[in-house]
Amino acid sequence: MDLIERYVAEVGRHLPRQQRVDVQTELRSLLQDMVEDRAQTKVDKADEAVVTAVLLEMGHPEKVAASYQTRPQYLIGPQLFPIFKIVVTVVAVVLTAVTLLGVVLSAWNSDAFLTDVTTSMVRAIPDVIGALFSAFGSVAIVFAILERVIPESELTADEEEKWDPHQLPAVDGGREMKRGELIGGIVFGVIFLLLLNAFPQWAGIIVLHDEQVMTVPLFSANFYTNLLPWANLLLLVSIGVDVYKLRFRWQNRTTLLLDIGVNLLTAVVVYIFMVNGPVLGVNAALAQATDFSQEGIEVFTNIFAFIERIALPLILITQFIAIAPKGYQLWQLPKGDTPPMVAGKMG
Amino acid sequence: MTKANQQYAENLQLELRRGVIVLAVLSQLRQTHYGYSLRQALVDKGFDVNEGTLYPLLRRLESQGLLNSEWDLEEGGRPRRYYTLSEAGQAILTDLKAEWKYLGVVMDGLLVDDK
Repeated sequence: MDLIERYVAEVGRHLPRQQRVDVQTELRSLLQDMVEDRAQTKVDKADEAVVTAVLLEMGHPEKVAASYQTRPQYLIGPQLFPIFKIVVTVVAVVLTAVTLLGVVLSAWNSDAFLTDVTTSMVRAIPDVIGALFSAFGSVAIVFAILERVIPESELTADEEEKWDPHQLPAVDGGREMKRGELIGGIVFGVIFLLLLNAFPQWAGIIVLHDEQVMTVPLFSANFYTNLLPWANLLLLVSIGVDVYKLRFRWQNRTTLLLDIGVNLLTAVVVYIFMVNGPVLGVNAALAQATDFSQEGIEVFTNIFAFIERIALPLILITQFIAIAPKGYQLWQLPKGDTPPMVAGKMG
Repeated sequence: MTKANQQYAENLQLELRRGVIVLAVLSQLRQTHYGYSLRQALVDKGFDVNEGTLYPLLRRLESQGLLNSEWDLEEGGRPRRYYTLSEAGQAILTDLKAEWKYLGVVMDGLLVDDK
């Protein structure tokens, strides 16, 4: 009898509080039924060997408790795991790239640049490893929480239902999106986002002044005050689309639509830049930081004004030129008609 | 048969039985049963099932709305939870039964010995 109580208590320890007492009451009753049936006597008079045999037959308490759980017992389930893998890869690459960039920038002004970069990189290895473990842990925690917060119906939303055979790439056609290109795009986007928002002093032109390397901010005060949110929006959307594309790797209707969306958003943002410029504002800062003659500064100022005047409309036009082939590819994709069901198909 | 193949065959048999356990349980719960009496009813008809699998399954089927349950806390007696088919469970049982019969015919056709 004591063994049954110990078994029931142990099962209870692995059950959620809200169902513990209920399951324990039922389990105790069932075990007593089993023992009495086997021993052909009241449970308190039953031989311990019979009780032991019944408990062994029932199974390990942790396993039995796990069977009572309505949700699967894993940290990150099969539905979220593919996205988890992508996020971990991206975070690892971005983290390493940002750390290396930090090492290079910190040694930028050094006389012995190469030696300092090499030493700093070697010194940074344990930090990078530590940061990677920490980032992995943080991502895992976020996904573990998502696994428990997202309703089960959402998690088990059948991929098969959303899957369209017509979106499969042709055997010898369809463009595979290179993993390296996508990760590169994401890394570049994140670094640019960080530069603009966290380290604007580094987002500039490198000049030599009094035998010292200096960075002159490239973007105007107007850009940081009025236009930065638009730049951030564009970068975040681009990063998001690249992360999504990384999951599928093959161009399909959705990725083409997303690409067109990014082109349109870029066009809108560039138009806002054109109307609310200036974006570049190097002239005053350059004058302060350099010994350039007035003529030299004017040349630079004119160059940047020219770049802004020419580059922005050019980028705007490029977006529409880029949309055209994507629109054509989209039109070329077979329409997503549902194929007729095969009668009597099993499985 | 090698030991590894024997093990593999046993696992496949287990999988096969697992596939029909819900149907077997629902079929017997047209009558009210508590866990142990249900197990006995299944065993009596030749369907041996491990208790560690059966009892949690009853809870899961109930949480999915296929079973109704009720405690019987008779004075001095052992508290027992009785299960019976819900309306949704009855509908599922009807569907599963039809599928099982269809599969039976198909499988008989597939497994017929070569003359």
